[in-house]
Amino acid sequence: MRITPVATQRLAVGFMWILTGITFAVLVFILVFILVHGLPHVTWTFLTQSPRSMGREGGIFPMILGTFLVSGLAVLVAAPIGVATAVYLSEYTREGRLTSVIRFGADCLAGVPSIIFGLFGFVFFAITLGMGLSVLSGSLTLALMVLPTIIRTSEEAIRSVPNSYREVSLGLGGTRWQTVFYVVLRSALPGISTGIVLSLGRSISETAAVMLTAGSALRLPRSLFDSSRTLALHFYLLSREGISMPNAYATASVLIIAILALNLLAYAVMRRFAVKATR
Amino acid sequence: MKRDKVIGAILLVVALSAISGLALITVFIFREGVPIIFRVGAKQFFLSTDWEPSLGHFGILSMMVGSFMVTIGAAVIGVVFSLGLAIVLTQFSPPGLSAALKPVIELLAGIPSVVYGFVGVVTLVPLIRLSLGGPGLSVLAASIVLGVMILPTITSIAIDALQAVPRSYLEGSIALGATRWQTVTMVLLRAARSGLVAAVILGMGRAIGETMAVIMVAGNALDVPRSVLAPVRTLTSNIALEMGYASGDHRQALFATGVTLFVIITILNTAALAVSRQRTGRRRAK
Amino acid sequence: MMHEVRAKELGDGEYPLSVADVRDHLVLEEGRELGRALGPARRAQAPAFARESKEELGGAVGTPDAGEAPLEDAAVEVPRDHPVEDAAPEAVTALEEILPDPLDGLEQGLEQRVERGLGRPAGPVDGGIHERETWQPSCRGRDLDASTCGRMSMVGGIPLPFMANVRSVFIHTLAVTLGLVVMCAGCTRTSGRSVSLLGSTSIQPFAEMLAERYAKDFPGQFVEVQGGGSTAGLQAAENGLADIGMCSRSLTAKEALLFIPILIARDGLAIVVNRDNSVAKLSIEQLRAVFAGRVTNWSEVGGKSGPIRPITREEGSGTRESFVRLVMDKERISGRALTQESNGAVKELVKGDPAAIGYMSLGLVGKDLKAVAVEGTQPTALNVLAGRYNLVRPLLFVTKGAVNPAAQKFIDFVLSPVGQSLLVTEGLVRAR
Repeated sequence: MRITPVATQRLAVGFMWILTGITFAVLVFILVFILVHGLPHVTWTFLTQSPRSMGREGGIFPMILGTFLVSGLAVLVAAPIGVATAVYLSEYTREGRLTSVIRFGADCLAGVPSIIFGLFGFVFFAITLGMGLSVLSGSLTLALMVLPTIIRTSEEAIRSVPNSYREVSLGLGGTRWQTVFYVVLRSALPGISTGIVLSLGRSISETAAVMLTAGSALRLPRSLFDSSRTLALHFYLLSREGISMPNAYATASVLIIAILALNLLAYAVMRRFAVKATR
Repeated sequence: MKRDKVIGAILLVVALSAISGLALITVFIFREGVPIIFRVGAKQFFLSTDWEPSLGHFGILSMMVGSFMVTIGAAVIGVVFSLGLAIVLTQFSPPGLSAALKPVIELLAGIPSVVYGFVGVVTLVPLIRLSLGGPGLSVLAASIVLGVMILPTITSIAIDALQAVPRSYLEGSIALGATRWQTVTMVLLRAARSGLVAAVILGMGRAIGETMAVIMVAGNALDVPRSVLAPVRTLTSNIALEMGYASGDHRQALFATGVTLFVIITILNTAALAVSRQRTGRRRAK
Repeated sequence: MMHEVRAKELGDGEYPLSVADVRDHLVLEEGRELGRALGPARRAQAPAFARESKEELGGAVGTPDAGEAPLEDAAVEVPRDHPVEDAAPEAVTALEEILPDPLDGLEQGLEQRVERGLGRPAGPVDGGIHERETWQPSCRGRDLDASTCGRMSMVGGIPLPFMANVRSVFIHTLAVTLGLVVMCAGCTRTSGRSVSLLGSTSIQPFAEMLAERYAKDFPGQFVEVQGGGSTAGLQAAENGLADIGMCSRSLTAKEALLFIPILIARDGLAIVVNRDNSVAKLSIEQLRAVFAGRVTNWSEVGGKSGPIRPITREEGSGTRESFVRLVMDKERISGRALTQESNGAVKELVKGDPAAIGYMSLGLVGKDLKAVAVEGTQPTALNVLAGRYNLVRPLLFVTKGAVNPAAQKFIDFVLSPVGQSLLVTEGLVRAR
């Protein structure tokens, strides 16, 4: 029996839909699995207390603070530097071999496993520079890790800005910096913010590099030079060592919700900027 | 105007420091790692399966094979599912649905790898152990978990590649009487081929670099895995497991593993570049 | 010559269909609009070369690659959903609507300068003229409609909402950064750093417990505990990363020269199997055979038939090195053995896999696992203390030279009756 093209189509498309269904089922399963086991344990006290007995009891407040400090500082350091570099590369230099090499290098570094950055950070920041296992070491390492991504994303966004914008600005008598600052960056802001938010998400999820550089202390970090544990690392240690499964699930829930919220925020910000550009 | 020059200078300084900072990392890693490769002997380092640091034996072949197997497995899963997903979302689903589903895919990308690893350990590993045998911690488990993790990467790039094919190609094909599916296989996939291949290569690059999830589900045994149900150690898990050991040779050997990874990723990136250029080149020659 | 290069960068990346670029920012449907807005950033997640093929096909993204704007691109079909012809009328008004927006900041900037009494800036006007010598701005007809060119000078006074102004975003980011740095630096550190311990994952839980008790008994004293493995602990003590290194094996001769070991407890090395495993005792010879991979079936050591899955620790683990020294005796651990990176991980694995066998700290076994008798002796703290159970290793606090007073105080606490009894209740054997 010959299968007609239409029948083939139905079969094939049906199969694809099944694949799609499986994919989403897996995603939903992961989320539901974690949240169902974890949300019941996420109470206000859980979020505001310190852990006791290696995390078996108590809460995760130091980890929340630690995550905030390490990731926040990393992006805060990397974002201005990355955007400035991207601006310089796309607006102030001539297109040529050097910029292609730099671009390729940034792409490669963006793909390098985070563990290598962790190794580097451990040897360079923690030992050689003497910062020890600390929030500072951790965030500087993460900053280096997300820097290539921010540079590339910003550069792409900047280059997507149509030349007509630049020319109009210059035609009105703007200087190069004014053009860049008020016109180009303004138009590229959605893309740049996406890159930054992406990097923030990546640094929040980062575990291996953080373990090596920021350490895994359970106490509340009292300064940037104290070691601190992040949510992802805490979850990893809790679940791996079987210290407390309920707390592990709860930590994971907090982590996932935070990332979800971040994504939604990014999406909302992008919508706002995108809509504005059309006025 | 002077202010402009000053700002230009500041930007130059910032850019230079950023770039040199990144270059510093590369140089540092190579400087720490390369000497030991030569000391141990390149052949010994890359082609020996004997990894016994306490005795000074540093052969990473079994880890390289492990990384390779796990990455290929992940790529297979990634290709099958991502391609299906991308085709469905761009061609066969109503625009409302696809607009709603795309952010969900981005969401998949946001879940931390430790969560994937954990869910894998708790659900997938016992499943494999009970139904297929072996310890459960295996190449198969690692491939599945990694495949799910690189799905969003491959899917989003594939969607871009598919959407870049000019609509006239598709319209022409349909005008000639092909069904939508025939159009997809005979026109769309061929036209977007380079972009799709680049997507897969980049997904593989991500899979090779994944550490935490792999440590949790792969078993980390030193032997070269003899089947997909055997435990495996990848290059990244090797670094992560033994990393605290900053002692001379051992640490340098781990850096050397890092160098190997770096080179592999660079090769993958160059391959992706070459693949996409290839298509371009042909067009221009016309 | 510079002019041409500059002109090439700016102008030639684009071609007469610049209206297509404008369409990038038009709202046709919100979804597609978002897709476009997200486009550049999302595309940028993947390296640019993944999209090179697309750019050749479509080419309307406007990325200025020097010399890569052959005229033939103009003949390439633009990958948009609507034919370009439709775009023209809308594009003009769209241009008008769009342009005031980005230029607003420019206008505001100029006005602010005037307000601040700096007078009309010499910058934009004169500077613009100077600038033209090196950088050719233009309202070239080839890019834009002649009619719209004239309208360029009309900068509408559409007020920008607060956050959208690039300058305010920049300033606020800076302020937040500075604030954060100040806040964090201002977090007062207690006099002296906290005492930091780093090393063996076997000692880690006990050290944490001691630290908690220490903080309760001596408020204001902070002790930080990290894992990493015994060798890492020694390294940390050496390079100053930690005050005290935790090591769960005896020091080698070379190490003994560099460090001062302080025995805080003795710990039995338990051989653990799953609760459902029927095997209850093994000899050292059998253990060696199992872990070396020579014996692969449980039936060979008195259990139900089935594959044996040995679990070992990572290189550099004190537990592993103790095990190797006490049991393996020059034979290497099988390459098939699954490797886990801490006692807890070993415990979890053995708990879940009926065929697994591993080794871990006796004090951490707990009730979920079964510890087998070795050479006929039950693995209990009592037997360890009496010397009957032979798999014993020392738990050490290792320091390099003299330590700072805070660390010494903690060590004294650990060795005090309070500290020691705490360890004993947890299943360790007291040091003295």
